[in-house]
Amino acid sequence: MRIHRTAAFGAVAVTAMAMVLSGCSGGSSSGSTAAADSEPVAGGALTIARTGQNVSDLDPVAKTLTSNNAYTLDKIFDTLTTQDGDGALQPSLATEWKASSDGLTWTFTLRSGVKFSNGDALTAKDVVYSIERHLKVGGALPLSAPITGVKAVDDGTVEVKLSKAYTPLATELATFASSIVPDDLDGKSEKDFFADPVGTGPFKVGTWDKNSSTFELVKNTNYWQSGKPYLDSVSYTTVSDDNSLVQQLQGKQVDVIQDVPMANVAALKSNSALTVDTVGSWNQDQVFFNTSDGPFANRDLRRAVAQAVDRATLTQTTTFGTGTTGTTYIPATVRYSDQSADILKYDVAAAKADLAKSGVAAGTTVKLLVESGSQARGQQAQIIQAALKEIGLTVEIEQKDSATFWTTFPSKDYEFALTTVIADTGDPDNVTYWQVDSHGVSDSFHTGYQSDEVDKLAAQGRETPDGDARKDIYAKIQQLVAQDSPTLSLDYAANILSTQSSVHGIELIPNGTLQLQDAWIAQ
Amino acid sequence: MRSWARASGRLIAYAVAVTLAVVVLAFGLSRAMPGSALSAQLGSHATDATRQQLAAQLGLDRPWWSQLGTLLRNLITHGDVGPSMVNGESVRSAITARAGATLSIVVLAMLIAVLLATAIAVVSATHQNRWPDHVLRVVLSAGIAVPAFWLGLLLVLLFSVHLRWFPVAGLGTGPAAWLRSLVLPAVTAAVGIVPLLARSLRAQLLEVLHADFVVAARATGLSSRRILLRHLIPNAALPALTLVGTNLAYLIGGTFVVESVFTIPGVGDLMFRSITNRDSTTITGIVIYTAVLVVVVNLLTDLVVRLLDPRLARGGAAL
Amino acid sequence: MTSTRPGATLVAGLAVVGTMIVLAIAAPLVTGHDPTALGLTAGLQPPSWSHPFGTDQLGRDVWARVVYAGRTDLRVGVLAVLAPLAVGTLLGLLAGYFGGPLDRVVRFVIDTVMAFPFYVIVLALVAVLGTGERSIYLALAAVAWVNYARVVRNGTRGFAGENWVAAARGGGLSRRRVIGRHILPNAVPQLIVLAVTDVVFVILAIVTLSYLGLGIRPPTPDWGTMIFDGQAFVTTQWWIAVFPGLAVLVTGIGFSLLADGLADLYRERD
Repeated sequence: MRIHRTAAFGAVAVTAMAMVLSGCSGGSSSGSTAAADSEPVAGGALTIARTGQNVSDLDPVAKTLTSNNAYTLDKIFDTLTTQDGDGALQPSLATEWKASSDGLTWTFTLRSGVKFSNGDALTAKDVVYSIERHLKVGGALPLSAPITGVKAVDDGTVEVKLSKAYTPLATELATFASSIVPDDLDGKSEKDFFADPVGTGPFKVGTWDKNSSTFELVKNTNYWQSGKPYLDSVSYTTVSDDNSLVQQLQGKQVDVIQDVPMANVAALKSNSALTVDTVGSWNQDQVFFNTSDGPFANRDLRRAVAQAVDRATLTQTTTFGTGTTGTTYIPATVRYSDQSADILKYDVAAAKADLAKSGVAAGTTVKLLVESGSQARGQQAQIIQAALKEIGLTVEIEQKDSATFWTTFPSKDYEFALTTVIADTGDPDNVTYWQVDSHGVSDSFHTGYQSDEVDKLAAQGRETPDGDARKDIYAKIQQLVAQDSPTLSLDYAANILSTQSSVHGIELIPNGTLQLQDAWIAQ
Repeated sequence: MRSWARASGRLIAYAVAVTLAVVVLAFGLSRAMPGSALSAQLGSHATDATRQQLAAQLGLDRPWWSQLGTLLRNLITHGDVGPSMVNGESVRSAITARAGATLSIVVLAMLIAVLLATAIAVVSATHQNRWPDHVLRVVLSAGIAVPAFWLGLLLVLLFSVHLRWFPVAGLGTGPAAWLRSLVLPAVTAAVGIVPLLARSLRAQLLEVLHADFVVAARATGLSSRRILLRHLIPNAALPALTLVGTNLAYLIGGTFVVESVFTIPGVGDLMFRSITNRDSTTITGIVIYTAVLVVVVNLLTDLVVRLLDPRLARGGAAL
Repeated sequence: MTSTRPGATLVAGLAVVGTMIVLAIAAPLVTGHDPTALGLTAGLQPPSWSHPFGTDQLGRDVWARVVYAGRTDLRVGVLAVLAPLAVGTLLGLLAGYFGGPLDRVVRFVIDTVMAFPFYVIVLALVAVLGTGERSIYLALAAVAWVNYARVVRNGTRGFAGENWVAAARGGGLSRRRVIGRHILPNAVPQLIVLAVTDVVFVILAIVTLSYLGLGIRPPTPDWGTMIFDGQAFVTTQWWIAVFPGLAVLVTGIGFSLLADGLADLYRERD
């Protein structure tokens, strides 16, 4: 058994400790979603089980950023801005930020009194170094902002110069890759520094063996939110299969599981010893059509497919009511997602009409490329198959494992494809840029979709300050894209977290990470 | 003596040749798979520049023969195939870090299997064609037929989730917890082996039961228990032992299912992950070390069989 | 204590296998449901009169899927054994009879494949060839022929040295005739037993591949995929994963008893 919960405090000591802590933090509320009736208790080791790969690299600008690397980075480092459980932008290392009226100069005011885990104070130099390093190295999540210069105005102020107005800048600086590291990595080599990184986050690396499936974080005693984190340590276990997660939680082997299989949510909710927390995510199960080649270059055929699938029932069945029915390519949790857009609704008659208009003969076979490894996706593929049979299209399902899928799909060697994608930020420009803007990084996410009007609007959206004008631009883009249907959003998945009911204060963020600075364990 | 040395030399040369063929085949297979370590790691919206940088970093931009050459050079000079394509750690250290768990499962499973199989075979053979024999035959058939992951799933539900006798998954820390966490995986792995061993043992037992020396021993008035222990089991055990040796690669390869169900961080789990990640260095490394182990175990089995075989020990055709 | 006839195992095996085959062939007669018809509003129903094994997540009848999956898995299981049986037997015979360089090459290849972890080859080949039935045949054949070749080669090697073979050759019989008329028939019983046992292993391998998402293509029902789809429900809707698992188990027991019974039969005849 891997539970090392330190049960050092007796009942009396616990109360005393809690009083001391609440005194320290000035009685401010913790702001966490899973609010408990009682006051937080300090101490204890939290065990979390998650799927995916072991932590392999803690460099924020590494070339590969697996989700487990990312979800570990944000415990060790902070960013200038951060996103909360609703995906809204919040201050973190920067307490405020302002763009000049032409949008070309941004000023970030840094929080005072912030220290790195080694005790050094955070200054503007560290921030300048971090942003410049991100710009220079690029990495898995390169900065898209047209930054021309970063400078330290004084110890507590940083100025970012742009060549063009760029509204999503503050959001972009909230991603994992924009983590703030010490100036010049404290004079260490990258290899040495990132083996035991120094950050301003609530935790630092405890034990880390790349060959072991457990990874431990320990409390950063220099953390800037006084009295936090409550936990002494956090221990992660990586498992290869999400069914094992549920069993480990039910077997009381771990305190928290991430990526709860949707099929098990109801059972976990009915278990009084456990708590389930669900939050809308930036994930979506999405169908992509190859618009430049093959049968789906035909717009009418894409529209026929879009209208033939009953996405509401599909969502209900495959996410067990945890997800939201997909509508537009901008997930419902992302700003300016236009759920009221008049998109192609489920309508078999209209689908048949569009199929007839497309000139594609009934009984034609189309190939659906599916990334394997998820029960939900496999079933969504079968639902699509059955739905298209209704309008007279035969679907051949080709399941490929991830590595094969991500070779076949980017080389456009497919007709239509089903996979799960995630937006990196809560700004609509992010998903617009890589999914439908033909100037984006990946040929409109390998669909080959190109629309001059969409491209023009996307450029405008990027420069227009937040407000109704910007909202209208994205509403227009979503209308246009829906009419052309280069993609079909099936459902917006939820992030689901389940814990032993003694665990409190974990906040779930739409990008899939858990914030742990407010987490505590009732004894 | 000279002929013995020459024979041994030829045997070793043959083993080396087999290992080399295994290396080339493993490397070839891992490269023939569609996708690469790049596509497995870069995820959804990587730029071409990042792709090229990573390719250069992993050496994937070089021609295949150059990569195979590096791999072989590393193997000969360091006894290691090189760094993993996923985390840059030495493949040998990754395997040694995980070998303990896998070998523990295999050894424990073998132990369970040998004990169970012997008991089943003795009962079966001494009750040939009577009801205990028939019942055990069905039990053995079920052992062969049950999918390991399905059995594991049910065992976890019963013994770990409901009864809480054993941990659900993972390896325990501390000797007692560690052993406890290996029980269900070892039992699951053993279930598939028991029928192979038990059937072979039963057949051998039946054969020796009617052999001249047993008939002779009976005639001299030895107790049947003594005959069983002193003569029957040792004679019947040899072919079973050989069977274990020849099936070792299959067993080690098969542990990945068990490791996956019980979330044991062993070599099987590493193997499955490296196939998923197209980590050709690690795949090749695992295959090589498994192959070496198999070759060595087979050699040892050969030796043990020669040592134990009373017919060979008595200089041949004593029976 | 009653002593049953030695053929009981064989009869039991035949009965079980026969039942499974009949069920698979008569699938449309034993169920009125279409195994692929979705009923999205009637998912996860427990066993009842209309759905004796309940329904799965997509509202498909589990009983119908189990019997139709029998068609797939039994067909693939049996067919996937034939190719390696043929190739292995041929290579084993040639190597065993002729000996020399050919034998050395065959033995070398056998030892190489045997030293290789089975699933590495199978998983890699399935990745290379793509998922689906054809890949399963090829991937399994690439590995499984070795067992037959080894058995036949060793058997043939034994016979090749025997006096009657030399006598037959001396008596002017062609090599082909010696192999075909004398050596092969001697190896057949062992081969049949091996092949029948192999059906069990092949079905397990297919089920494992499907469980890993690399097996039979949906919507064709298959026991492995059914278990894979059902494992999330094993604590709440147990019928989805348990019935296909039982189907694998019963089929496997049948083939295994059949092999065991056949082995007995041949042993007694000798």
